[in-house]
Amino acid sequence: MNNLDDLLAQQAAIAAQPMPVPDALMARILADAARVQPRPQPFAVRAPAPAKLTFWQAMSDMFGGAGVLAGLATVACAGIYLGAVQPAALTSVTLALAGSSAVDQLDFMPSIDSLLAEE
Amino acid sequence: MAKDLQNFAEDAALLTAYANGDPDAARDLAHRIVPRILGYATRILGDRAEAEDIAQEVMLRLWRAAPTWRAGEAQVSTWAYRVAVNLCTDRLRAKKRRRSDALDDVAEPEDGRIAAVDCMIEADRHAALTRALADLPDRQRQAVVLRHIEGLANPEIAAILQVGVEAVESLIARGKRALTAALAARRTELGYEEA
Repeated sequence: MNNLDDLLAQQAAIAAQPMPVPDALMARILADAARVQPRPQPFAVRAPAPAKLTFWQAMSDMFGGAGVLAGLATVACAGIYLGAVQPAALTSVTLALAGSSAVDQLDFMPSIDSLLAEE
Repeated sequence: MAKDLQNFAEDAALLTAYANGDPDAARDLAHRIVPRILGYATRILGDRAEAEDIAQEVMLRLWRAAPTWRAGEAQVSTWAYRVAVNLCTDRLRAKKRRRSDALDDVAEPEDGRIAAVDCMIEADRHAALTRALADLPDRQRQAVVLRHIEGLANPEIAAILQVGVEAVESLIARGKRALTAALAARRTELGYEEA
């Protein structure tokens, strides 16, 4: 039908002209756009890598500080010294405390032979 | 055709710029897309206020889709039309549920440019066409408006309506037959001479 085609063509000609967009509508649309627009991400600043610990720093951290480590070292040295030198004064104290029995006579790990013998 | 391709590329570039934080891209893209969507929704719904709501919603969805937009998969304008078609369909269905007196609810075109047509009989004819379009089934109306008023090609309409090109051709043909019949019934009233 030519009449229909003519009418559609006239409507198309009208539609081809940009439809005026009310300022209020455009403002709402642009406000939406600003609200949901992704924000540009700043370049991430990488945290500096932790400095590599030296052996003594690692040991100090492990034992809770340089003071504690120094104390442990002192005690260890003192123990080695006393064990190696065995000063007479210290030996007499040990004998006085332990009596006549030598420490090596104590049986801290008895064998089970005595238990087996009871059967 | 080359101009269309250029427009599609510019739309996609603006959307990408928007997604990258360009503050001016939204304004430029809105000025390219909104008039078309607003015009389409106005013609389909016959209600300017509702058409503005549709245009705003389409653009909001476009802004939200921007960060994940993959250029080349869809054209921005086709995507926008598709969303507009779906939103208009929802509105029309809701309207039909509410509407009791169908014909009286069909608004006369609010487009001032149509109302400004000097010859009253021309205005009557356009009003009759608008009313006949409003009486078409939704899909037929959308296909006819997209093809004959918006001037889109059938493949693009097929992408918008998410049907095949043959289905688009069928929708348009049936729609035009129904429009012809509707206008023919008012032939004398609209000032057309009898053949």
